[in-house]
Amino acid sequence: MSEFDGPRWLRDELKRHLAPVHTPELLWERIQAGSARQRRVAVNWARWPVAAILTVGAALGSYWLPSEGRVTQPAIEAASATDSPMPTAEWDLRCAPPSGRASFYRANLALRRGHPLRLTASVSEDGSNGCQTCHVRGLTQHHL
Amino acid sequence: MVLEGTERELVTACQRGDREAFRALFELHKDRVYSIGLRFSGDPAAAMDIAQDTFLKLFSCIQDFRGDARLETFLYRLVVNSCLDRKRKDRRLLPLVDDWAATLLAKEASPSERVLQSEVATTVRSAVEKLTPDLRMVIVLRYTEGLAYEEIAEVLGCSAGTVASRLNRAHKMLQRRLAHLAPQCGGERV
Repeated sequence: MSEFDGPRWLRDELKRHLAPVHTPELLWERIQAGSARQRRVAVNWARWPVAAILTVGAALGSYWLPSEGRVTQPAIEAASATDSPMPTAEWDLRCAPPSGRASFYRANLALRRGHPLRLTASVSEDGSNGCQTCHVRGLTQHHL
Repeated sequence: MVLEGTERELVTACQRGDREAFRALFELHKDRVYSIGLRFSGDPAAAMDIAQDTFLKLFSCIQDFRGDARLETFLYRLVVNSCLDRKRKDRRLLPLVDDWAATLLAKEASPSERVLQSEVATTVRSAVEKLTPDLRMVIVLRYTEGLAYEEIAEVLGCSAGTVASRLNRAHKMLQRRLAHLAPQCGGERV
């Protein structure tokens, strides 16, 4: 081990000017404040994982809950498929003008009720207005 | 177990979360921790930060202290790490401020002021502050705390030979930088 400690005057000066000092009184208060801040920071950091878990939970919930509702959907679709002579895949679901939408609703409503009617206004022999097909079939009440 | 009786009880109480024990442990070691921070950084505000950081670390990891080493050694390691962390942060933020301040101080020193002891103190501390952190730390542990080579080696996690080598280099640098004080200081002794 090297025992070179420098000249005596240097060692004396270093001992004198690097001597221990007393601590200011407010250090304990600072430590307590720092400890509280550290706890707050820890709590703040704990919030992020909780927020992430809640977000993922909400996202999964918003995905799964409608899926749960769709359990009955095949039965409904099967029933409607048997009702409807028109294959749903061929339906044009694009937005139509109001008059087109109204005629579509009327036509499909009639189809679902088992009366594929052509909605043409006619005047019967007795002079009353009505659906020609209904009159032909002897229906006294308009089905629309 | 290396801990003395009272200190072991204090540590055990701290591990149970006793606030009074924390306070007692703080009172026992506060001057030691603050002095190392002050002598290493040369700045009272930085020394307060270092001491605060050291005690917060001590209180948060006291559960892990098993008493295999002396508490002083454990504490010295914490304060050394805090000092070096602080130094790294300062180097990142203000790389030129130290040199600039040292230049200003050197210009302000007049020949008449140099005879004053406070000026000698400023000069000596300024010379110590200009040492590299590893050399400065061995000087502080040696002269502020009066630790032996083996104790410094245990704190720094290196060999006693490394400590001796660093002390040797630090003394040579300080002797060269403080050479102008030699006649004055030697004259006082005679």
